[in-house]
Amino acid sequence: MKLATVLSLAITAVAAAEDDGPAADAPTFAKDVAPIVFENCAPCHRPGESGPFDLLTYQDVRRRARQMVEVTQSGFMPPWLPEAGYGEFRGARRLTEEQKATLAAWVDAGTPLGDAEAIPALPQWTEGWQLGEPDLVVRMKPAYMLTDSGGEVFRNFVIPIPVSSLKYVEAIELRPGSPQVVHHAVMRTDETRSSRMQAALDPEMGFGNMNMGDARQPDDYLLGWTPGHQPVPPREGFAWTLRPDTDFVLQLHMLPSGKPEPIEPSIGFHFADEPPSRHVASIMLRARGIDIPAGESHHAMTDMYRIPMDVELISVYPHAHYLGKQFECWAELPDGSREWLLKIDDWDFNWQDEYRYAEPVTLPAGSTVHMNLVYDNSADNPRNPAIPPRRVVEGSRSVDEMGNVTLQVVPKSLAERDALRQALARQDLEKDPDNWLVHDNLATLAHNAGRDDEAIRHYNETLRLNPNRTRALSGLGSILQARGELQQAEELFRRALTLNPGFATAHLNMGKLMVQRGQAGPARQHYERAIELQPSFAEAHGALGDLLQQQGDFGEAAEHYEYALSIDPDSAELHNNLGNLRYYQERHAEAVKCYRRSLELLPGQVEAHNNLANMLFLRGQLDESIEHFRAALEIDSGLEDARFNLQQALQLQVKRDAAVARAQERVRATGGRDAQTLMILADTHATYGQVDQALETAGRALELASQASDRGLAERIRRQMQRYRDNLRDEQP
Amino acid sequence: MKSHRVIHGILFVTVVFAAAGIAAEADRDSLIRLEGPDGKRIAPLAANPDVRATVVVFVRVDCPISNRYAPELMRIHDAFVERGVAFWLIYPDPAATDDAIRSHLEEYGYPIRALKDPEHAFVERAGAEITPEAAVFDARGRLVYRGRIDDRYVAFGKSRPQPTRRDLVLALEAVLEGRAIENDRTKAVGCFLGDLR
Repeated sequence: MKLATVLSLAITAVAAAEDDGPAADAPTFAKDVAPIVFENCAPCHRPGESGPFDLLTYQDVRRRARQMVEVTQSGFMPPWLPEAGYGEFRGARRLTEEQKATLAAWVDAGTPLGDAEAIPALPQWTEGWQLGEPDLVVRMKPAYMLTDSGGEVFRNFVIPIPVSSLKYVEAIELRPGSPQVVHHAVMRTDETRSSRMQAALDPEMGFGNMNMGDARQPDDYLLGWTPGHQPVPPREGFAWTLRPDTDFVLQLHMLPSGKPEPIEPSIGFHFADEPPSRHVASIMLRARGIDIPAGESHHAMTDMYRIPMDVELISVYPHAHYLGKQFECWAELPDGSREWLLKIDDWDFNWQDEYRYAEPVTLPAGSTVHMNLVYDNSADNPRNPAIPPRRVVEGSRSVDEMGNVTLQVVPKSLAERDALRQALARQDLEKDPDNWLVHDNLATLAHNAGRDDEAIRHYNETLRLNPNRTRALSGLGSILQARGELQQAEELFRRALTLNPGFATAHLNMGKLMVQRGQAGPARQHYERAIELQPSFAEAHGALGDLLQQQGDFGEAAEHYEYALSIDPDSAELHNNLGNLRYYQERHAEAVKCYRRSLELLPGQVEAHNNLANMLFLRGQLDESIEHFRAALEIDSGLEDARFNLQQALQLQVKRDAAVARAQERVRATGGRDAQTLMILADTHATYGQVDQALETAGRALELASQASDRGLAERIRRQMQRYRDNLRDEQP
Repeated sequence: MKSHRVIHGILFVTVVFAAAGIAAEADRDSLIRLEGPDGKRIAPLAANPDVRATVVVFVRVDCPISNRYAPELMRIHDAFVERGVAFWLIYPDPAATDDAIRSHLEEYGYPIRALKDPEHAFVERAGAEITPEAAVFDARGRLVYRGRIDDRYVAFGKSRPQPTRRDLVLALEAVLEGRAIENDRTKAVGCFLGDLR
């Protein structure tokens, strides 16, 4: 050893000899450090969780003490990007300055243990599923083998969800299987087969890169996972709709560990009993037209949206790639005040997360939301993937950049959610008038709302900017078809199908067109292809049901309708069409139920009113049938047969009322105590289909007969009552 | 009381001086012997005509950064072992058992031989402070490089998507070609050895 070292060692030795041990007020593990570690570090730093080593005991912590001081001083740990004071979030993971100082002082004092007896107990953590046993667990099989080295891996896995009927998902929980290696996850759903096909084309399991293709956020819900993330528990009234034959698309961001790792995630689903009564919407502030010169260290991009209705903000999800540096997000309220929503000064792509507000933030109608996102494309940014720095543009590869802040809000109703989507889409048009996606979105919204002229305009713009947009081809075609322009419509459908033979909706539309042309064979082929491509396509099943019904295949038609209704129980059209089928099958009572349900779902349907009226007329329920004929004629006064039937019904009603009046007069004349006259009245009621009144009247006659101990009469009355009931036999399902 | 303490201190100093003298002698022979998980004692820097350079990498079983370097270390090993470079993995954690080390080697597929250094004798010889940290010694046992394997890690939580300087490889190339090493001391990022006493 060098002399200098020896000398300094010796001097230290002397000093130590004079020392009495650690200072009396130095922090100890037992009293000061353990509580900090157990609360803030141990939840992830324990077996089976994301931390790569445990921090549960004195030895665990002592062996990492200096490291812990460094990472807490730099803010790297606990991992939490938002700055304090700019939004109050649930589960915020921060150490106070005092806590950080305690750790540092503890290390300076030589990491003393203190009184081992005084070490607090470890917290009780929920093991296994944090939200309790799920209703359905789906495990990805087989496992994905993550390579041992190299940079980060992004991969999208397509996992079918085995449900056989419509479900409302009120919560999901992801267990990544290898939490130390999975850095974060994003989850979406795909009701088409597109993701599955993309995965099939990729030689490795799933498909690669950050782009999730056609997978969507189900009903606008943001589903994600990061280390230490607490799954979102169910909230009253909130759920997203899951149809059978939907694929789950799970994007995992993984970091090789130095040895190959098998990745086998599982997802737990929790189902609600009721359909949702509340809905969420996403407002995505984004950086448009990203183009960052090489070397620029402070490149700011902004966006804003006006919100024309009251909403509650429940969570925020910032996103950028490696060059993102700072995020600022705030709202300006109508009263002029500013509400900070999020501030991140040192963005770390690896620790992105969805941040949920401790209390929903009220944004009154007229509020605006703003984003300012700063990129650093200089060599000073150690995370810059390009050395030397390169010009970077927008894109979904990790060497490209993205930038957005997604605000998850809750509008007051479904109608307001749709209005919000429309308002946001309009603002997108102001910002980006030559973006085909913007027009495509507006076209779809207009089409769904029945604003056909507007839809046509936007479909045309979409196709001008992107002639291969198959959704626009198909959508435009279906509007033209409804207007009778079959030639043009057929051309558009053909183009769509040539570009994408796997486009189920285009097949459906083409099928409908074939029906209009009277070509049942090709129509059926297209419908069946649509169903093959997307088995849970309720509309296609309904259309095929219609076709089969026309061909007299009632049994098969009924199967398709029933399946369609299991997926889409609130389709007025399906209920109406099924009602027609039941009529042909002579199941009249069911037909009535179907028409009633159809009208409940969508009042004002001429066809349903007319159908129901006819059905009721046949069953002798005159009064109600007259109501519905009138309703139908009010909507469409040109319905000849309805007018004729109404006349018939009215005439019959007059006859009935007269006959009933006469019979009632006879009953009154006998003081209501003569069973025979009562039975005449009962028969009259029954003749005109008033079964309930017939039975009630006959019941009174029966009572009289029993009182008179006239067994023969009582028996005859009972038989007659049975006959009345038999007329309703097909009331049984 | 006080006077006793002072005498105690002076005596201590004398003893330390004496011990230092002996240690210096031993050090010049570079014969620090370490035990492997199989029980054999080896001096990594013992003179050997076939060895033109020795690389020692300080690792821990439970250091995630160290583990992430396993494939890269193996690539470097494969590239240089035929050129007369000897490789050693040194485990300075006194709490690491032989079984744990053996499992670790197997799990990560290391073909590199392992030695334990619970007293931190080699740690001090190399001046290492971090895992993973590499030290390169020339044929005469002189320390010619100490520091990171490459510059992928900038700090905890800040790593480059790709390294820009593969410092260990550059150092080995230089030693084998008899050149001076440019950056012969670099800062490594990883778990602190100082915590392991």
